[in-house]
Amino acid sequence: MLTTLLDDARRVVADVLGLPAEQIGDDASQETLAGWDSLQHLNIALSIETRFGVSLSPAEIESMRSLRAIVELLEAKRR
Amino acid sequence: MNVPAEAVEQLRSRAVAAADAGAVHEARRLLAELWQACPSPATAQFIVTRYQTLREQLSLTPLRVAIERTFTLEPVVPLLRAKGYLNGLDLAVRVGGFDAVASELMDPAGPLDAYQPDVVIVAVQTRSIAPDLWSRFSLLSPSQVDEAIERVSAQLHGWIRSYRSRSNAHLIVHTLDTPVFTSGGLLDVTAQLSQREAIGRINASLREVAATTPGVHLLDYDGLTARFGRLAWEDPVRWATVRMPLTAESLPHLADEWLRYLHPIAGRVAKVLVCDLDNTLWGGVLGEDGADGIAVGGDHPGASFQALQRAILDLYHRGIILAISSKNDAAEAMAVLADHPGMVLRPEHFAAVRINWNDKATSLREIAAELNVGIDALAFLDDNPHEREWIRSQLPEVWVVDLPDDPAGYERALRQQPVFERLALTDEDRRRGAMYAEQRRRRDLEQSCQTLEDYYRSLGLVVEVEEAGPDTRERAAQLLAKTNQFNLTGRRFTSQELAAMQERDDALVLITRVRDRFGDSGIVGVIVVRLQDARCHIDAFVMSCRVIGRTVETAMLAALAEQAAGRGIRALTGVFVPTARNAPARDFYARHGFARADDGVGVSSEGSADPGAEVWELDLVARPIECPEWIDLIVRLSPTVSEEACRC
Repeated sequence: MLTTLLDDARRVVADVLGLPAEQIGDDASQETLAGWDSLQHLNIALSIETRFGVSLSPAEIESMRSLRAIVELLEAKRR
Repeated sequence: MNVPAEAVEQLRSRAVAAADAGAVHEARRLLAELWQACPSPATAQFIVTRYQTLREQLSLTPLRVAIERTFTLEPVVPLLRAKGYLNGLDLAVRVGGFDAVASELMDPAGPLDAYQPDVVIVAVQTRSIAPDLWSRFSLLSPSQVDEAIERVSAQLHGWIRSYRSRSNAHLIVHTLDTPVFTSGGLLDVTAQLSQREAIGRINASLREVAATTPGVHLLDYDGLTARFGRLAWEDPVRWATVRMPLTAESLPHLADEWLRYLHPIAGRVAKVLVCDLDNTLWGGVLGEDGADGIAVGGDHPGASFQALQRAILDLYHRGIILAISSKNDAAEAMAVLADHPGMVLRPEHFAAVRINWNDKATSLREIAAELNVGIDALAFLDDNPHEREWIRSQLPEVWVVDLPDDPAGYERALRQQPVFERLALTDEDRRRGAMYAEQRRRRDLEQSCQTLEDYYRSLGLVVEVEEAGPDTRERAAQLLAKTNQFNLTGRRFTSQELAAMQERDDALVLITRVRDRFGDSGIVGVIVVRLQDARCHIDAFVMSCRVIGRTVETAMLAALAEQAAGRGIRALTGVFVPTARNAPARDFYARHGFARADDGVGVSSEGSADPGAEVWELDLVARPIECPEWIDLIVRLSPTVSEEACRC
């Protein structure tokens, strides 16, 4: 079973918010998910750091307001 | 991260499947593995969610934890709860208001008191509660530094004492941290009153408060961060943005550190450590490499195994009972334990030994039975992951220590286990490991002797009987309160009651010390009698289970009879009140020539009828009590109580 960066990021967001991954659509963002508040945003950022072994600057954390933004950020950091 | 995403995903789905199928222990194991692979807030939240269904089926210890803090640590909470679940703790956690430490600890009508926690963690930082010492240190005059030390110390003490006056909850107080780079640079090392020293003085004052206030425990925060490296621990940018001075990596370590306190507070501890031998206590396989070929002591690789043994010896001195479960040739293995120059642990440290080819679950069950502890009191140390897995699946109550692949990491892994932590230690605790080990050597001797008499003779028993005094009355009262098995009457007396009886001169309170060639068991027996009308009434007669089976009770009775006869007493009267647990004392009177004196109608020693109680009587003239010839009985009695009192 091969997972994609999108799936992995979706998993992190779903786990932090306590939701099944199926409920996190590709377009999920702070606007579409009520539970995604500033505290959970911090939890998502910390989990991304642990999960992907990266460290995120305040600007990067600020930018990742949607699932797509998280994936784009991770792809950029991998290059 | 080193675990590939696919593996993590697989662990997740297997854990979910196991939980759904009701395989709770399998689910627990997989979730623990998942946690190892990725200890993030997301994983933690996932584990906490899974446990909402698992918790009902596991025996978890509930604990209410409140955290008072001066920094953002909400992200640690799911980590703490997840790791708590995996360790057998069901933690409810409340995080206090930001920087509301003072108000919540001081306010009897505030949210902290309303929460009624079992434990309060006071997570304070120097930068928040002593900002001038933290960031303006070089501007302060020596008297201003002194003033700041005084002020902050008094503030902290005030918070602790105020809360302690209202609640018995345990307090875990973070000591104040020192900046990574102190303000004076190199000069700080030799300065009269450096920044480090100033902060250290506040911590020293906290130690005094902790030493004199019950239930106050200190968490050495600088020590914790040093263990993992300050530069990797802290993130100044995160402090400046979200008031959290920690990196993602340090969060699980903080949760683990808290758990080292929560385990002993919750009583979720191990009493016994069962150790494997080959490749655990020494490097190599004894059966293949021989005693000369195994590695223990010296340089690499033997040093790692010796370091582990030193850590185990530390646990032994902390009161942890040691045992061995090894698949080996028993004689060969015991010879290594006894004679190998590199060994730190010796046969006399172990209280139960199973060196055989049986499966280890059977050995662990036997060890628990032999030591008279529950299976859940055992911890298991074995280098072999298959044996660990086997014990996890067969005996899920056992705490299995996870060891890294490289033996160099064994010592640290063992020292990190929270189930061996203790928050206070009595003399009794310190001696426990030794006493259980002495007991094993007595059993071994008993088995090697042809007859019981041979066994008794070879023990070299010395029994000392003396009147209880100011120094020993507390122990006498404790024995009366705690002894359930060899207890004839079930009557308890406090030390004050014993003192009052001794004042009156018509009572005798005798204590008994026992030692033999294997060790000193200390004060293990108490007799309380009243002397009336040329009769001696036994009000209480107890003997610790530690010395049952060594004929000590006969020596105690002989000492009493001698005393009574010396006072012109001709008869001993005693009651036996049967309980669910005092069967070992049931035939005591009959064995020593007493006769029933109540015609089957129970009469208590106060004279009131007590159905079920038996009254027994012994004519001292017709049937004198002899001390067994294998016991060296020493009776040290002052003729009257008053003389004893005069000496003090």
